[in-house]
Amino acid sequence: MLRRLLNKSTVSLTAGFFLLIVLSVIHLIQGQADYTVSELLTGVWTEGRIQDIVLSFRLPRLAMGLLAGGALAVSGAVLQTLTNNPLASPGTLGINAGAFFFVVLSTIFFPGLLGAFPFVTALLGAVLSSLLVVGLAGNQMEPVRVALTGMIISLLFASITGALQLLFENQTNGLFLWGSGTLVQLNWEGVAFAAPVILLMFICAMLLAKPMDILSLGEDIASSLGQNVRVVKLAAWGVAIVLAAATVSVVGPIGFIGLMAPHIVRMMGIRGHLQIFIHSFIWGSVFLVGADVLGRLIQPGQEVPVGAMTALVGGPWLLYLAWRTAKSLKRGERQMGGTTKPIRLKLIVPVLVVIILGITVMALSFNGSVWTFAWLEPVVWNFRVPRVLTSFIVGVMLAITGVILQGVLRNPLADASVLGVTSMAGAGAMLLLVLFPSIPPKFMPLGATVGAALALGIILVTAWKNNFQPMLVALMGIAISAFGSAATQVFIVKAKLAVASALVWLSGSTYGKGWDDVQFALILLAVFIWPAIYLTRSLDTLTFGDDVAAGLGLNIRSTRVWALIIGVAISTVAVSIVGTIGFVGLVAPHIARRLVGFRHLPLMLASGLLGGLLLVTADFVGRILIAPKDIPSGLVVALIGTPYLLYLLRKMK
Amino acid sequence: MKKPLLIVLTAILLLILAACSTTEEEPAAPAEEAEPVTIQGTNGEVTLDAPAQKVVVLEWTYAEDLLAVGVQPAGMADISDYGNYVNIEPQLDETVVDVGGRQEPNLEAIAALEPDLIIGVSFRHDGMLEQLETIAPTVIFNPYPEDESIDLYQEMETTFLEIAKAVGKTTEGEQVLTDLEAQYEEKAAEIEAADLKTKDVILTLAYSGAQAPEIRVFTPNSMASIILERIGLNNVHEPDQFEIFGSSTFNVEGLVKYEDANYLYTVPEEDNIYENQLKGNPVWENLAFVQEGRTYDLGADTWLYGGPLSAETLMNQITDVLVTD
Repeated sequence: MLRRLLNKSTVSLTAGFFLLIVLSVIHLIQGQADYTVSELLTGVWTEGRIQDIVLSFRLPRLAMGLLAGGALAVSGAVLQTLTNNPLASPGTLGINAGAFFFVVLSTIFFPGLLGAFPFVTALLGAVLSSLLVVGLAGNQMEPVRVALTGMIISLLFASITGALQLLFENQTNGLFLWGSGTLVQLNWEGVAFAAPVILLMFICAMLLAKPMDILSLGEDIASSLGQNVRVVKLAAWGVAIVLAAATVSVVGPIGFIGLMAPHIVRMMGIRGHLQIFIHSFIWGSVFLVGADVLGRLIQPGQEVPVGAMTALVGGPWLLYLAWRTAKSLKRGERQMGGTTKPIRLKLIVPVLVVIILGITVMALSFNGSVWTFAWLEPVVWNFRVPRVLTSFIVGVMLAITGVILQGVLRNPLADASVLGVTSMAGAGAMLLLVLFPSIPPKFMPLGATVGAALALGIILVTAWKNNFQPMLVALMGIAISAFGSAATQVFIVKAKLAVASALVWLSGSTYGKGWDDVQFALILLAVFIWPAIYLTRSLDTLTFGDDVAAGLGLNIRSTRVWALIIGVAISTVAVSIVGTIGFVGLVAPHIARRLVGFRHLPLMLASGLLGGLLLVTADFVGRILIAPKDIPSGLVVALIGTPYLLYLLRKMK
Repeated sequence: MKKPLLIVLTAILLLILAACSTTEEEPAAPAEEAEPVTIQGTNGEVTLDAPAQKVVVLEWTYAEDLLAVGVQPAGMADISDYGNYVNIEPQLDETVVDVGGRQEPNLEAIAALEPDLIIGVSFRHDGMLEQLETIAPTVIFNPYPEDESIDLYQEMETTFLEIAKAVGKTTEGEQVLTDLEAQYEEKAAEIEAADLKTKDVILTLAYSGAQAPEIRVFTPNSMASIILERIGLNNVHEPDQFEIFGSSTFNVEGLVKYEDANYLYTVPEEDNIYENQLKGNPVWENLAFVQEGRTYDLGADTWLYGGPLSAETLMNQITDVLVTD
């Protein structure tokens, strides 16, 4: 037994070191000054240009890669044991995101502070988001729920950061795109700061290895063996958080390393925390340096953010892990969080209509500085009116999609954006643009449809067996999302062209909609609303559970397939009009369910109205806040949608 | 109870739509008896009944073109940032209205100005052309043609003359270009006389990137580079691939190849990477042009993507820093 373990350990270590050395050498060769290997080898030993370049650019970058990869991996390994959760990592728990968010905040509001203590602000953010996750996910620390909460917190921070970057364009100039950490280094400063912290924490982790071995037997056993569980846990959390914060403060948020590396180490059969930490460090370094090498191979002379590269590999990995974890999940009961005492439609619809009319009147009359009630003036009539109307119609569509998807998957978290459908639609459209650069923008919906269908296909295949367990589906969707947006980022670097317009399209915007769009949207809504309404009866039957529904004579499989097709079709239409606006389809049906209960026809009516209301409001707010400039309404919706999603998760006990 | 309402609404909308499309083409009655002008953009020929009086420009370069022939635009995008990057005479009037961002200009604000002509740029405004055309005749130019054989300087001149024609200032426009030619010769003579150590140069624009500065090095087909060549300098940068925007993005490592050339640069004042980040960096400090003091600051507000006036500023700055040194 011991022998076998020793063997596994040797194999892993040898393979890890070998790969690490090979990758490091390739990494050192890559660079804009194109020296050959022999030039480098001869030049590096003597003082001069080549030595300078290697010493002040290439080596620090490599060292940073080794340290950051190792730190993230160890942090992930610690967190996985602590939360007893194979899905835990600094990325999936939102720790990276929180740290980076605070770095952005302090750059904007306390620029002096950041120069002095980037690490302190990052640490503050990391601690805050850890507390948030633990607080929101509840005491049982159920794996999928914890990971889901963490990912949503990341989304929340990402959208706030996006809004801040728009509002404070000048101050955030030097900051990179969200989630795209990079290893580029200018000197040894970053390493000099990070190395001692990371090494110190690594030593602490090794000291904690023994207590953590005991802890992983279970808290009760651990305390009966005389361990002070509380102290050990606290110390371990501290180590994991400091490791993540130190990394983020130097290289920005890089995801998925902390998830993958410890996992692969465990899969290779390494046991015991001391071993796991050491191996994780090495494999984390291998992955990060490898990703950086790959990123520079894709587009020589250009920087593809290494964070995007890790997400490209890590997204599918998370998907796989989630799927495996969920196999053992019990089929949770489905609480859709609706009211059993519905308010009568005769009451609720007029109230909603009055509110909608009120907001619409405001939206039509105010442009951020001036009120006008002359709506027939060409200025208002040609631009503001169709824009408000399109927002409303698209809002209705998105809400209907949400009702259908939630109904058919019996999943309160289902929504085109949560399922990754919108993100993959975006990636599909960008891929089309990369493959056929001269293609007119009109064809972008084609790529979007393919991407959306792909995302849905993946969800169907992976979640079918588990009967679409809500949180599992949501987590998978978010993993797909991460993959989709990473792919989009890589495509954008690759395409170079039309990036500006593509970016606006991708962030989702109700900008510049004309009467054509209103017509187009109205016609399609008129086409799709009937099958959607027809579906409501089947969806009502599905509420009783699959067995009862089948007993009542419903063909469950074909109902599911048709409902999904229609749901995705409507959301693709919406994407093709306004780009990737998320969360409307999540929030609207929920609020509606609290008002009108579970029956799907009234539900669809009420949530359609609410969805329209939501998007009109978002469009209005985005239009007037920094007028005459615009904030994309997709961003405004995300700012409302993510906190709501967290609140939902908290309620889903 | 919603359905009938929806149908009624739809019906009303469609009616109004129909009504709109018939009344759309009301004949404009210009005050003066003027000749119609036809201008050529990437969106085809655009004919105006008379030279445009009120013009909205959605890109800085074209605002500059207007200023060069003595016309103030009625509206312009991103005015607040313009001053930070562009330094030319004549200045923009304070009466010029800000119409929002360059990427998503505020259509209502544009329409409220009731312009005679809107000028946009292909890579930003192609997608909203239809919308813009409902406001006023719109012409789109493309300063970055995908065709490698097109010289970006030539493109600048053509566009400038088209814009001058659109506002009825063709003679003034031609005069500006003639003056510019004369200046090139004058400056080329000055450079020639200055007996520089080398006439090889590279021209860069730098800003801080994620963790290390990013440096745009201008390619030989860019407008700025052609101006360099006109006054007798030689841009030594040879890009590995065609760069559509006329510059390659480098980090300091990439500059090694060109250390024997003179280093001409502009850098934003509040983001001076040479002061803040590169000072003391061994690679940077040991580059030949740094060692020998051949780095030349052209000033933060020298706009390298502009029209004839920016070209003038650029060549004046270059000659100033190279010759007086």
